[in-house]
Amino acid sequence: MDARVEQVGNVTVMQIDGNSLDASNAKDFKRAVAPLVAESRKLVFDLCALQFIDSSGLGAILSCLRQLHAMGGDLKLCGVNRAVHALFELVRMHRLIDIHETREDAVRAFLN
Amino acid sequence: MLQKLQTNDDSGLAPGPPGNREPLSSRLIDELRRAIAPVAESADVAAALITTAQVTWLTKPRSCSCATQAADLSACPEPPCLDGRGLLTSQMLCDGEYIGDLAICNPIEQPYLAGVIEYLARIAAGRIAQERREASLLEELRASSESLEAVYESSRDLRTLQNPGELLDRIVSRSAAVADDLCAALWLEQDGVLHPTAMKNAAGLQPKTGGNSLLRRSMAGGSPLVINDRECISESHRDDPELRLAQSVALVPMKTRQGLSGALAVWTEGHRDFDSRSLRLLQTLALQAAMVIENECLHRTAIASERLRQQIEIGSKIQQSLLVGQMPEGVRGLKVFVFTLPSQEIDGDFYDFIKHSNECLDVLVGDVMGKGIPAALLGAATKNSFLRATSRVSLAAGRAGVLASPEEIVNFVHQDMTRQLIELDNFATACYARFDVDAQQVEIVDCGHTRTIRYWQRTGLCGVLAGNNMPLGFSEGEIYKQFSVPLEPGDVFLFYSDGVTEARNRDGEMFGEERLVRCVHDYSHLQPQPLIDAIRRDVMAFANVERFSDDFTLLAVKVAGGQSEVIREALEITSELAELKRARAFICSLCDKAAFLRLTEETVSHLQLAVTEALSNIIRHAYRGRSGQPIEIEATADAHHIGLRLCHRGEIFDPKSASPPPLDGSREGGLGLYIIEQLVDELSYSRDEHGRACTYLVKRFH
Repeated sequence: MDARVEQVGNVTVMQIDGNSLDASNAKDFKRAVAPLVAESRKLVFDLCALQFIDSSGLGAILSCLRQLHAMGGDLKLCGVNRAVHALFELVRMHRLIDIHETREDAVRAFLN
Repeated sequence: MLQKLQTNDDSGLAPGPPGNREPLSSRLIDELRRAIAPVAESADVAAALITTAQVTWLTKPRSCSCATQAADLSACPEPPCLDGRGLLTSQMLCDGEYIGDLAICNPIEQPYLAGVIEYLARIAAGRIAQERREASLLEELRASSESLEAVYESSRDLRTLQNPGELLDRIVSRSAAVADDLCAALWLEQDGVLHPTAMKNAAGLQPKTGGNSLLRRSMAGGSPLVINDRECISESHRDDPELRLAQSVALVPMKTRQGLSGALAVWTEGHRDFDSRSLRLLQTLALQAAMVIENECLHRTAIASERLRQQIEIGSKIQQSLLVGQMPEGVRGLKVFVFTLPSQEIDGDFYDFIKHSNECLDVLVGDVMGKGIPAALLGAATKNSFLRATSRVSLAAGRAGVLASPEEIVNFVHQDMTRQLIELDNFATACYARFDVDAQQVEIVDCGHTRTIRYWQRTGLCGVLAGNNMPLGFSEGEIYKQFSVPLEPGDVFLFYSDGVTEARNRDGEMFGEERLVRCVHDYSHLQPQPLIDAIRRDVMAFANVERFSDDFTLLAVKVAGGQSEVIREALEITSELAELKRARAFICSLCDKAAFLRLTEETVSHLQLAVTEALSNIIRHAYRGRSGQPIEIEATADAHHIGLRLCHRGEIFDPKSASPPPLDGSREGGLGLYIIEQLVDELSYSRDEHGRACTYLVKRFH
């Protein structure tokens, strides 16, 4: 799983490449983001390339969120497409995690 | 019992429903006589069938002294032979109604006779019930065609005559014309006095104040009264001087919604009995008169809202009786359903069916411009013109028995109605379609009506059918032309009122023809009734209302048969999570192939997600992560559902062992099952014929 990382002030933005996040690559994803989750307190996942996510993918994102919360940090999402958002809603995940339209919105939400 | 019979019969009035007094058929009497003959031979018994109408001997005792062989008890001098010791009777009930007794006089009191007469009474009652039903069916048939004609004629008058006095005169004249040599009068009550309001062949009628009038009697009873007995009539002639010489009289009470009551009286001084057929006609005419009076009262009433409310009631009565046809039955290969919802304001929407044979059905739908009772009546007149045209065009052309073509029918109506419509500054749109199952075609004449929608199963196309003729009443010079389209199994034709396409949502946007076409396409696999229900739900949801300002009529005709498309696809994968992608691509291509389902992107992604979750459960739990194991995905798609069967050799899943979904974010796993359940309509686990464990997912449509 490829990921491109960008630092905006003290906010880390991670663009997730690959169009699906499911049982087949959720573990890779967790491994790839583990260092970022450990180092940064303010993390944004940009999901604009993501076309498909399943419960394992949700689980992976949830796990990141929990780790960050444990360390006083937070996770925000942006660029969530409709199908992915529908699944978030289905499992009420949109209530646990902030979802923003654009990367800028998500970063600004951290700065405020 | 005999006394009861006599007192019951003294007035000569017709008790109960028609048919009650009809003499028993000789066939029935013969049958009963044959049945009782063995009993009569072995014992000296008398037996009679006693109904409210007559007494009929079945067998007479040998000891009976009277010489007469007449069947009528009244011809037997005293003492009545049935008035002896050992009288046994058994009640006869016909459809729950008491109709009389079967009596046996049994002087030596053989006990078995009780059983015998009970049995005979049952036979007799059954036979009487059957004969009555046959008679009333025939009656119904005869009367309904004549009533329709009377209603038609009156509705024509309602259209052309404005003055209610003239209308009532016309109705009374019609009543007098029900048979030869009749007199007729319409009486209305005001301040306790009955006033003659309209009359025919009767002069010098005086208001009635007395209570001993036959009119009062029928009004008090609330049901029609027929007296075919001169003596009974003359008894009351002090209060009914006009009936002094009457031989027969028929009285139909009427009551308007405003509480005004009266009666239509028809009588004759000639020798003529009123039968239930003419009574039925008179009832129809009395109803018409009540409607005219109601309407007149409404014009006078000061409260506008009250008038409107009552107008609606009258309008819906008109609609139910005149504008709306009976759904046809038994047309081979065609299924038909109509839904109609009258609006708060009445308008001139109408429809009807004319079944020519089991293979040929005409459908008529139309709409007259404007609202209110005038539009409704004009709609009724137009519809009647069509109905008459269907029978008269052939006759006029000297081709009795040959069906007039739809364009001939429409041109006849055009000749009949257009001038009047132009004079009234009004017009009517209509569509006349003939479904000919044998010829496998539909012939359509479109007179500017809402465009008929057709789903053509063979091509999968759905679109509108329209001719280029003008509405009736636009131009006298118009010549109406028909066009035809094939009629094939699975095809759907939808006719509708403009209230459907003009339903508006909150933003003022109309539902429109395009949406309706899409509905017909999407629901074309359904039978007419569920199809119409589905469309209705869609329009209601769009407009977000329970009621429409316009009449709302949907009429669907569907040709039976037609094979529905079924798609079957299969994919073999192995138990690796990397295969999930391939499974999703498979679902995507399946949905593409099932184009007839017109699935949205969202539905496709839901199916992909459900399959991903189910497969990863199989890989991780059923196969416990063992790779290289087989999983087969079998997919079936038809117009109603997509079914997916995931078969594997791993452990079968027990849903009872599943824990509730962690929606609070406390756990990462365990969501899969919950997600699947949310996305599909059915989720089940079983073993297939090869002993494989299967997860079965079903998504239903409509």
